[in-house]
Amino acid sequence: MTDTTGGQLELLVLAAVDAGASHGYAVIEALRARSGGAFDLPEGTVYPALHRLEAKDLLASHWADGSGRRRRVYQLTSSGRRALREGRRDWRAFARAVASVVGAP
Amino acid sequence: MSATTIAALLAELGRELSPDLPGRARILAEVEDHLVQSSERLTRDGLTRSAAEAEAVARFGNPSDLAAVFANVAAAGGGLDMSEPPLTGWQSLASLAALAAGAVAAVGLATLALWALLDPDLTEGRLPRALALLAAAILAVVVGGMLIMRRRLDVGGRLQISALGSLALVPIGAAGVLATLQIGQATSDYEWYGAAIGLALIAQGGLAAWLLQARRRAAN
Repeated sequence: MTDTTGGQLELLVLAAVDAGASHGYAVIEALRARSGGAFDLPEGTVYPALHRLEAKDLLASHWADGSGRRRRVYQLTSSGRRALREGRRDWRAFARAVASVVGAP
Repeated sequence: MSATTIAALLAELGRELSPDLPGRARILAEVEDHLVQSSERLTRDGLTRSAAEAEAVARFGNPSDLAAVFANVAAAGGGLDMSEPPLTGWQSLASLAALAAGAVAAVGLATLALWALLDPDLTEGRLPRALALLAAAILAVVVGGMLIMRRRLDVGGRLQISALGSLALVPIGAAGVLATLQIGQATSDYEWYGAAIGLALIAQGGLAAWLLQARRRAAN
């Protein structure tokens, strides 16, 4: 599956969960909507990322029963919130550095 | 990819995911929920049910690719350790109770085994000496095996061995209890002692098996 997020999928997923997307479908919807359609990924792409983040203890998950269906819901752990803060800081520094070379948009 | 229905995609993904992949059942359940949500959303947007399902499947991506990514994630050590879901409050209480019952049974069995070996008069008791020795031997194998393997086993593995060992001891515990109740005529302290250990073994085996099942359900 091609990653069209420039290797930033995990950071994007953390940000989407932080913004309130609590399950896989909501995460992919949030990525699509908030990127203005730029991150129109194959929707299955998000699940390995969610599982990797959980294995790293950046996300926690549990089954929730709602609307007659069991759904795996995710939330940031304290390590996940810290990683998101650091990821945002690193991303801003990187974007500033790139912009200073290629010119601001 | 040829799947155009949710059922076909799930079947294909099920074939592609290794049976040993940690969290396999959970992956399939999450994907099914995702596809159903996506299909329902597309239906609300005006597609027919079959067209919505086909579109949801197309948007999801190739199940073979997804299975390969999950296999890579697991191979790289980034997969979920499904054997170690956190203990809930009830599970913590059950594991404490199982530990307490197991400790009582272990001390009791060790004493009983020594007693059986050292006291020649015990052959007259209704609980056979062999039963006490067998129970102690099984317990020794389980505890010894876990000590030897402790570096290779995760919490789930240790719990599984502990539950299986406990369940192997349950029939012996039950025999001890029955041997005593048979009578209402326990003829020696030794028999009452065996019955008490039997009850502790049954409690520990039951709690360990429940805990193992609960953790498996949580993992899947």
